[in-house]
Amino acid sequence: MVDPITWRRFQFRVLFLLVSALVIFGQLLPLNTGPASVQLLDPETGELIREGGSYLSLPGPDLLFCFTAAFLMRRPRWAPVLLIVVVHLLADILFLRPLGLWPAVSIVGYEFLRRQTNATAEIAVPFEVALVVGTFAAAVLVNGLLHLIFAVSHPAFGATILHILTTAIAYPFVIGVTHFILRVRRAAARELDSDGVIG
Amino acid sequence: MAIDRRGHDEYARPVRRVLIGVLVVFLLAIFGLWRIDNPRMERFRSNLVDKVVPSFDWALVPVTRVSRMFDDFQSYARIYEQNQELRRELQQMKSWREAAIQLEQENARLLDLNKVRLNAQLTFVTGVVLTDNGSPFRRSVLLNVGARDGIQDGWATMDGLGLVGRIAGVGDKTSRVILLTDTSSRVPVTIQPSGQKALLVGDNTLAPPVDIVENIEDVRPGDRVVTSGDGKVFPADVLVGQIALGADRRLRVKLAADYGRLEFLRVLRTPHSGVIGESGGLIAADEVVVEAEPAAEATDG
Repeated sequence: MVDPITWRRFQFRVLFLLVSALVIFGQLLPLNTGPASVQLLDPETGELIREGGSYLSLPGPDLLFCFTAAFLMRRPRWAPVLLIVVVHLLADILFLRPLGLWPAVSIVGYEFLRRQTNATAEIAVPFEVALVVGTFAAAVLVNGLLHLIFAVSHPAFGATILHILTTAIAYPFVIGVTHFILRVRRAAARELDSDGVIG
Repeated sequence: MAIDRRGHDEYARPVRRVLIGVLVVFLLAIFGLWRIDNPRMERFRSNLVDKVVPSFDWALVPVTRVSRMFDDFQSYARIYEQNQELRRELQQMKSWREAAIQLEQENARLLDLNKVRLNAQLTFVTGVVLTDNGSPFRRSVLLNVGARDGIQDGWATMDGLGLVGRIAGVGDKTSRVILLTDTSSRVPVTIQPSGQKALLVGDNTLAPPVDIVENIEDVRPGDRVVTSGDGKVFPADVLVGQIALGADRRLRVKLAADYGRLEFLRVLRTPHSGVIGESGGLIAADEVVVEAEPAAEATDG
């Protein structure tokens, strides 16, 4: 008989994998192939025309990071390092990014976040958002710097900043989804398992 | 908080930290390998994509279809406006159609007089767009045709109207198209009617700029841009778009292909297109290589 805490932990790890797969899948859908709009001059009148304004030109939020962080901040045991690495490597392969760089950088960020969950008992949501977004920003900037050092083509600085901003806006919603829909919540004191560790 | 307060954790923590360090080094090693031996890793990537993505085909197609229907539904709100616009365009098109028919007849007569045989090697394979690439900064799509359909790296891809991109990465059942708008895309083009050669440089916007134009004075907004076929990777004379002036007064190309709706793409079979097999390889025309060798010897001596 598997003890209930281990069983539940396993279930939620599978849930984490499913959510990650869904996020990756959603981002792969060919919905937003239109690139950023651009302003052109009308050759006859000399006026500015916006070309392709109907497409969403903002770089979307990094939902994979958001969900991983939201899991980590609630139940660090439900998002183990190896699982995160596997998911991120798969995302790297499918998203045509340089292999292994973003996982390497983001793992350091995730481990930093994991330590924050150990340090304080209760983290208020605004503080959590600031913490996660700050970590994400640092990771993205380090990632961009490494791209520069290794001479891998990288998007412009402005786009990177926008990417951080959209992620910052998305994170509170991701917290809402993990809390209310996925029902991943912080453990209460009575939920500690036999080792005195959060299940 | 009652985590990690037992004795053995004093050892577990540093051990964990070392293991994470090892993991990070391992990931960086993968990155290094990718950087050094890029073609091999990219082949590995396209093989994996080839395995993973078609198995989601059943889900990808309906979801895409439904969300596009939703988009179309939204556009009903502007239907009157669009109708007016279409009417105006139709008027213009009618006169063009008349001109085109006359030209077609004339062309047929002239071809017949000359006994010209058109290049039969320029045929195409049509593929359906499976996925785009998820990352907000790269512009590429995945097609459901691959090596088993005879697709090769480097072939040009169009939608019905204009050039869309280039095949980069072929799996057995899938292949990836780097779009013209991707930041790593460079395509040699010719600007008609002046015949200026230029390079189309992707910059993540809908109208990529043209670079290295020989004589900027000869180029006007509205000029047609076609591929030049330089470098022998692309076929020549595939329509790319029209010259337009950007807000920064830079020459840009308004692409003829409809990038909002990439659904079916044609891959042009281009025989004898060069292939890069290993990192550091170049695709060069033969005469360039021949010229380069004596030059290298001369500098040695």
